[in-house]
Amino acid sequence: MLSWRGVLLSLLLFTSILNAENIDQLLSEYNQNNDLSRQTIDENKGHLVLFTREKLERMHAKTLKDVMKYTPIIYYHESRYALPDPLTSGIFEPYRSNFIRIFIDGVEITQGWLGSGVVLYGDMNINFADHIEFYYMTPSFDTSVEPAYLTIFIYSKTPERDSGVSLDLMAGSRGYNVESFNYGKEHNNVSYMLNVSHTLEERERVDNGTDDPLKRDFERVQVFGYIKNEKHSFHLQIMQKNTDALAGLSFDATPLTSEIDYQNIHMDYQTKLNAYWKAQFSYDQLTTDTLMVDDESLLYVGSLFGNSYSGSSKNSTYSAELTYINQFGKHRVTGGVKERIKVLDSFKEDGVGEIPKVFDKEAIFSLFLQDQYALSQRELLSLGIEYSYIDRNKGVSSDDLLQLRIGYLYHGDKWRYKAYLYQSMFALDPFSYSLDLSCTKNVDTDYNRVQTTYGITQELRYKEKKHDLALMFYLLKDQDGLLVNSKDEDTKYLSTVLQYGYMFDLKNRMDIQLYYAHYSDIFELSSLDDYSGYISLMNAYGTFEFYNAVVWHQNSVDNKNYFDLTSSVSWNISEDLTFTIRGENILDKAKETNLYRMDPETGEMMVPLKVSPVDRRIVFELEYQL
Amino acid sequence: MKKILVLLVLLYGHLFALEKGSTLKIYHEIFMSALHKEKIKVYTSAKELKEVFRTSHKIILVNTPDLADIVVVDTDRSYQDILKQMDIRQQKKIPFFATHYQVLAAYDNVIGALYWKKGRSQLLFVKPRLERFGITLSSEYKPFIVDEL
Repeated sequence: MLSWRGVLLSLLLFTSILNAENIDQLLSEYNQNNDLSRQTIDENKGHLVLFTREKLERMHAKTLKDVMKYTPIIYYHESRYALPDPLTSGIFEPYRSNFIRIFIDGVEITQGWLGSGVVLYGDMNINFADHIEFYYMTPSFDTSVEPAYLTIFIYSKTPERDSGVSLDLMAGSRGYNVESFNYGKEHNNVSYMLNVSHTLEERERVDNGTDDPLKRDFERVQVFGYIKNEKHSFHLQIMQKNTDALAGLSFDATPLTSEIDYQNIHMDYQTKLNAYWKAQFSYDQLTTDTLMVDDESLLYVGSLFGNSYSGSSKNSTYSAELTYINQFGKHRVTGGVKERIKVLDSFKEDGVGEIPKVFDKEAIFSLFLQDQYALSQRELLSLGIEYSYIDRNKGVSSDDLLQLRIGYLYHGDKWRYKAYLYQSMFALDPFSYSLDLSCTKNVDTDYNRVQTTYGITQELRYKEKKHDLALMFYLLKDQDGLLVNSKDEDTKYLSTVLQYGYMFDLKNRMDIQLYYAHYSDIFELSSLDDYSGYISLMNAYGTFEFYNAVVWHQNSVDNKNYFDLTSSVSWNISEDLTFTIRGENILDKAKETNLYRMDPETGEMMVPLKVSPVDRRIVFELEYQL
Repeated sequence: MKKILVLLVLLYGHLFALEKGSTLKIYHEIFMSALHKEKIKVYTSAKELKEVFRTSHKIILVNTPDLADIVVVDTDRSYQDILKQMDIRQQKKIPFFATHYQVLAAYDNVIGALYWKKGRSQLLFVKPRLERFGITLSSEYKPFIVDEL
């Protein structure tokens, strides 16, 4: 006869077996609920496209560019200087992506006089990153953000999960090579992280009809580090990037020399003063050395220097922000004040001296306030307002901007819904216009000074253990657009994004995204339809992992289909060592950007060059964790 | 008001890296499968894990490692500190479980680990170590058991 202890033990064993059947499911739930993005995601920030650490690792995304080719609405492009510029029109402009903002660990990285941080950090090495959040339109007013269509929040790895040393070595087509080192440690509740990477990109040449095709090779050294505890954090980021600048300042894209070197330093300090108040200070400095030679007069500087320019510049940005957050019953109130000062320290031609500048100092003062009111245990109503005053020296006009956002959010167990009404105001960037030294237009009177964008956006999401389905819908109108179109009408946008993720099991997953947008009165077009999408598969078999994805683009301008196929196979040789072979743009049919050209002698537009920002490349990678 | 606060916590993310519900579920499943006991006495030096275990009815936190059914360690240093506190006989009887691979790799009396690697949690047991402590896991754990590291 069985004793009661025996019966109990048998029961426990049986229960244990039943439970063990769910071990995969429990691990999957543990994975999802304990991903570090759960600590940083703010559902009320807006419409989120998230790249978790696991996703970034499985994609083998090594740069922000590798990630941005999958984002909907705004995807990766490069300017005529071979710099990241997703909003570029391809025409003669220094940059257009000043309405895309990049934050690292809650602090914006900015280049001040080059629009935003995107031009330099848009293709940064992300080996230091844990996860990346993309928010469309102005995110919540928990912090001040200069007006933005897209805000990218990158969060770094933590030594709690990435302690010790890791090395990542890559070599690929045309001598491409990357070496990256990461070290993390936690000691007495203080966390340290240091990440150093070196990148040498020998990129595909662009045929410009001459014997000397356009070059865009670059060499970059990037250093990222932080030290933090519960109350204080200090970040340091340094980047040195020496580039061949593609067409550069050549009107007809036939430069004899086109080179720009960039040196950037960013540092910030954040502190929690008490339970309600926090402060942050940051400093960004960018210096450039430019060498441009052409057989014809150069763009912007041609009226002064003819067909050769060798100059340098230095600019500094100082930012300070004080924020208050408190809970009053059902209200969560956030408010704050921010001051940013951008100074163009120098802008000079070698052997000549300082170049005349329309202005060289800009100060942005912002006040922001947000109330989030819990209507019920599942519903939230939010109201956000931000006022900014932009002051410029040397008599250039100041601007007032007012951002407004009203939001409603429903958070059910499986179903989620959010809707926002926006008013976003964007100021003309007078510096980029003033670069054209031959231009007779007055930045104060001959351009629209402030654009107002009105928008309504909605998102419906269904999420359960295996399925994740989201439908996003955006309707926007630009009033008094900064970019004047041929009919001088307001530009209108309608965008929809459908995302679906299916988890076969713990290690196998499929993601699908479809995007459609209809634009009215944009650039010289009365209408434009834009389509894109991707399908990706993450699979694992034994010690092997596979990633396959194809990104598709088409628009109504030429109805041409573009396909960017990425595939990788990883072999986890041991717990510490992984070998990967990765192919990028395997079909050599990735999306292209028009690079416009003008004959400098006749002033007539030439057939634009088609430039793909994604090179066709095979990469071999070795990752080692000490 | 409490429910409203729950909503706000859901929306603004977690203050801590570990989410209680799923963490308790997975640890309880692992401990119960290994030790075949309904209530498990655990000693741990891992600060955040301790906070999570404190809320469980099935995992009982004990103040000294000698009284534990299993010891959970997060760092090399805490392993050394705990070992110093233990009776030599108990060191041979009480299995250790780690939250970092490096600790699992370094010490023979650590039977397994639940740790993070490249954004994904990994569960791993070492067969000879399980056998040394007389631990038998059901066949569902087979993919998570290795003969050696």
